[in-house]
Amino acid sequence: MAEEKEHNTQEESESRVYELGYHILPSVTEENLSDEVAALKALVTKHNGTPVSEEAPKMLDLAYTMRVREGGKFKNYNSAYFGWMKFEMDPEQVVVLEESVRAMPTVLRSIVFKTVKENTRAGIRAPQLSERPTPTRERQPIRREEENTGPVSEEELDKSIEELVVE
Amino acid sequence: MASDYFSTHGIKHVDYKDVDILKRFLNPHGRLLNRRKTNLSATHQRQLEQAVKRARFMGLLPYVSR
Repeated sequence: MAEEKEHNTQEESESRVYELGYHILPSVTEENLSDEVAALKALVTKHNGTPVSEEAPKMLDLAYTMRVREGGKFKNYNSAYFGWMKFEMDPEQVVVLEESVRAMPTVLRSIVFKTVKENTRAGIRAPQLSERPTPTRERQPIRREEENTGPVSEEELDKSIEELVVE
Repeated sequence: MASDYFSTHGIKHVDYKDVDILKRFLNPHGRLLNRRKTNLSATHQRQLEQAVKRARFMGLLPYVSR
């Protein structure tokens, strides 16, 4: 019984790790990006969360145009700063956090889901065109000796042909 | 029989941010291939499906292409 309880508490503690993925609007300057990340972190700590790991936001092209309503007008975005962070938090607080992140005016889109503490990135990348290994076969130097022998007389040519025929 | 990609490469978790890996299991239209073609275990196929859906929502992968 005690073992079961211990197992349950362990499972519970494992299930409290979450990941927050977010897109920050491209209109935010790179100097202010750190402030945005700090604001997100502050939100996490405000909801009794403890950050585990994170990756700073980087500009990337979106796979499709995202349409967001801003002040009664729709605005299209084709790129954004994408970043993520992992944190530990109580399950009840996560729902509240998700709402408050969504309410941030500089966050284009966000996602929160349950994950594990360890690194989930595979670290395997498909070979890029620019990264393809160059062929290892070295170029053979072009033989210039034959070209430098000078003009060959007809007699010498006949002789060498005859020798070849005899062989 | 071809083996499970994630098992052979020692990948324990299918991450939605590993777009290069996820793209291997999509057809030219951006749709997920079935298990017969991906050769994945049922568990990994489910994890892949979840990861692709997350990547699509976050604009890392398209919902439709071509």
